Amino acid sequence: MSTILKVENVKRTFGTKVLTHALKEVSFEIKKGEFVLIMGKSGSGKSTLLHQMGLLDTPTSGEIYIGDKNVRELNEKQKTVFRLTKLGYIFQEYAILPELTAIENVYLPMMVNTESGNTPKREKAKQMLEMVDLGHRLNHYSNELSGGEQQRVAIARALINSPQILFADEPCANLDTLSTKTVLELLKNLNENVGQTIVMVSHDPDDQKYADHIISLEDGLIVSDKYKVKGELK
Amino acid sequence: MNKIKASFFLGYKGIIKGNMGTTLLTIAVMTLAFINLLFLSSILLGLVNTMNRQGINNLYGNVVIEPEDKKSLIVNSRKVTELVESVPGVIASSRHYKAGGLFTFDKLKNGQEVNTGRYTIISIDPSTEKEVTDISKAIIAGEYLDDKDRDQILIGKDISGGYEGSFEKESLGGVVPGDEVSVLYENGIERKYTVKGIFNSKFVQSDKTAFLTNREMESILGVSNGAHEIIIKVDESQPESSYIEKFKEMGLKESIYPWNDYMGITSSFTQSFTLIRTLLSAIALLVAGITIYIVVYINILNKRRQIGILQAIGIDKAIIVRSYVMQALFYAVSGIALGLIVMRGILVPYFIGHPLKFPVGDVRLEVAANEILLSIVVLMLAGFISGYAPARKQTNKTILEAIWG
Repeated sequence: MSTILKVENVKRTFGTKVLTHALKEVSFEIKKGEFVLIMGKSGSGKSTLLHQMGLLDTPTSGEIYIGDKNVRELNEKQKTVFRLTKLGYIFQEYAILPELTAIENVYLPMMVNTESGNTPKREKAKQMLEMVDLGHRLNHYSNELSGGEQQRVAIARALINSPQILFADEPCANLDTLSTKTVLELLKNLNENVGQTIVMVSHDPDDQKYADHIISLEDGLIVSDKYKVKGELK
Repeated sequence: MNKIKASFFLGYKGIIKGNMGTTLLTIAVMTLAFINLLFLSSILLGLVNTMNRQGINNLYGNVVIEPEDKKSLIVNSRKVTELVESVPGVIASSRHYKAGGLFTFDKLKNGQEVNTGRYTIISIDPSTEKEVTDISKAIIAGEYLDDKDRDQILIGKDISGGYEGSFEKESLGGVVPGDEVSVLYENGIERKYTVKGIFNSKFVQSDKTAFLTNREMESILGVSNGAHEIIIKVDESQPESSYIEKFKEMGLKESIYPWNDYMGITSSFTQSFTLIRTLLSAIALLVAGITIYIVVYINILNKRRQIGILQAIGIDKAIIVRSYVMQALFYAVSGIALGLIVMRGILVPYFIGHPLKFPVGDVRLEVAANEILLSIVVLMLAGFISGYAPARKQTNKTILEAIWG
């Protein structure tokens, strides 16, 4: 399979007087169609890494390639378009907009995507919500949805522009067990049935069962980068 | 196009699903700010216009002709009036003589209570004067003059006294029609007149004036067919300057001036009021601008995380900024619309029915169209800046800073 994301010697340092090295020369590759799990304890740098890959932050040094594009070459405006058209992002907290209904939240990114052409936006948003089993909640606002439902709306929104990579930053951190299972199985189904590349951050070892590529971080460094082959990590 | 649509969509949803109480309060503040911007300025404009209108209607007409330089009288004044009245747009003209006189009023006719005062006397042809000034319509006691009157005088309420005028203490202390007053002219001639009528033009400058006929004044001054001034009423659809131009083209050698050259003290009032209006408008505008800025800024601070999320999912900064600008403009437009309704529908009609009493006359709110337009433009601009600046500031933060603080 082709490489869809390549991280080369990425460093991220915060602060000016007192420096915090959140990432220390991290390198790895992700292939198209993988379900990647980035694991590590709190403060290990996993979310920081996801932010660099998701173009929400800029590395102090190192390169990130998405497809064949070195994202360092992109200016702010191009990064915005890149995030809109090529990447999907699911946040830890329920990050849907409270002033919009579920369906409006989902079709908003499509509304501004010039590459979406004449595709009926509302219809596609409805299909996405039906896919995440929220066809009956189209016109509900966030305060009328449970945490799990809100996160599924966020997933539908992240997928509306058919992203190359879906990033998920501890998407189940605030969910109950049942909702966690629903969301993770939904992501797994997307990966298996649609071939969606997913990069998920989690600190829960149980989540490993959903992934086929597991990267472990410790103190800003990769301590293991393993693939699951026939159910075994290698 | 889609981006504009998205901005409208986000802005619209922000208003519709935002806190209704905050939205209504903001619109109420904007409405008050708009009224504040117009109200006092409308009163001052009403005051200025009242003063100007009073000057035109009661003293000067629109254009005044004075004697040539170094001459004390306009000679052959009837011919001059015929000439100016031949100009299209001229409604009427009236010849005036002017003199100063010491008035004496022996109230009890026994020398026990004698009041005196020095006043300006203007002589008129009463029938033609009616077509130029409104003095004939301002009679509050007795009657207006007739062309043939010789021993009759018309006096303002500030001369007669008894009508709570602005100069009551300096008045003759309660003259009524039928009373006799004697006038000692500057040339030493003394005449007795019966007060035929008392007028109240509500304009302090004319209410301290007395009128008698030209026929009488010519006998006192020993002149005929002359005038100290000719006042002219014109159709105001053309500026006074164009009439003055035409009169000069006709060969009039006399000095010709527009009414506003005579407003003197009121003219300086006008200039001061204009300055006050500008200052008050600037302050009102600043208050309106700061109000809408604070409201939008607080709104944006509360939505800091949402703005970060919007940016994270690839929504262009410009779309986000525009959506807040649209919200701010919505507040401004709503405030303007409501403000106009309150001004036009409530305040202006109220002050027509209940005008403010000033020594220069009854003052009503006068909302100038250009003032409204300027207020609208300025408030919209304030709305735009107040929406744009905080939204721009917020979207210029990094996405993570916006989301996590």
